[in-house]
Amino acid sequence: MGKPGRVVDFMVLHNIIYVVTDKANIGVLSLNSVDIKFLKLKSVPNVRYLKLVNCDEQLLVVDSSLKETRNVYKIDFSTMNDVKQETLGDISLFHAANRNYYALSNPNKWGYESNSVYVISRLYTQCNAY
Amino acid sequence: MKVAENCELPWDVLDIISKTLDLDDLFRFSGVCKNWRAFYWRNLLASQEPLLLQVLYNHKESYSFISFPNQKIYCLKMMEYFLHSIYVTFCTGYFIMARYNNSFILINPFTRIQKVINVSIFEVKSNIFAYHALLAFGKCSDEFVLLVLCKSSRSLLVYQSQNCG
Repeated sequence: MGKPGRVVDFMVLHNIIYVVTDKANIGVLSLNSVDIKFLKLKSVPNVRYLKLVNCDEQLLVVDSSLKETRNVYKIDFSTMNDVKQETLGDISLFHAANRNYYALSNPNKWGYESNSVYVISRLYTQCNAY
Repeated sequence: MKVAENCELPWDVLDIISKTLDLDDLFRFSGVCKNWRAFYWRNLLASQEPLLLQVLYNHKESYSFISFPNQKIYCLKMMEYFLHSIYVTFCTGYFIMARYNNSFILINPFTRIQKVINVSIFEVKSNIFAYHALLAFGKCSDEFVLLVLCKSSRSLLVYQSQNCG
């Protein structure tokens, strides 16, 4: 691995703080030494703007721009692969421009659609879902 | 309406009352007596209903939680008291706010617990998009870790409460 890049997002899963860099490298923040140990994933998405999401005890990596959510990957820790998701399944994602992503499982229970991304515009009073 | 022998209102009545109250009023409501406090914690907070947070920046900032299932907006008037503070994010039940006196303040709107973290590694800015932050508590513990990434300088603040008294 070359230079891992700069940290752009972080997320907690199973009491572990994961970070992602602008070179799509994912690592674990060690609090004892304030050091980052990067995961040896077999592949990393070739994208720059990544966000981490904790969903149903799984680590999702969201490839997004300011305007849209392009792809969602799941980190499979058993095979150390990132798996591109063709569907979100029974979850929905919530996102405001330039902010975090949040995941909600079983969204129908609360009046939201599953397999959907809800995006709240920063400039207009509107919420897009797709 | 049937009042229990110990003069406590039944929870279905408290449920009707609570639907008319804002979050600030609900917090005061929980301070009336043990029964109402138990209702606030078990019935309202333990439901873990997902709430959307709306932060508006007009002539001043305003904060609201929105409940889709209940079609209700909870305005947070308490945030008006945090002058000279800029919203960074909402995480693990806490507002993370940047303050002009080079510190961050964590505010739990449901319990009103506040924690102040002084910063020395970078100058705290008043830009709402200057930071990316994460708050994480230890399992069954009040100890927490606050991560703040300063987007311009790329400095990463790692604050651990157990190391900082």
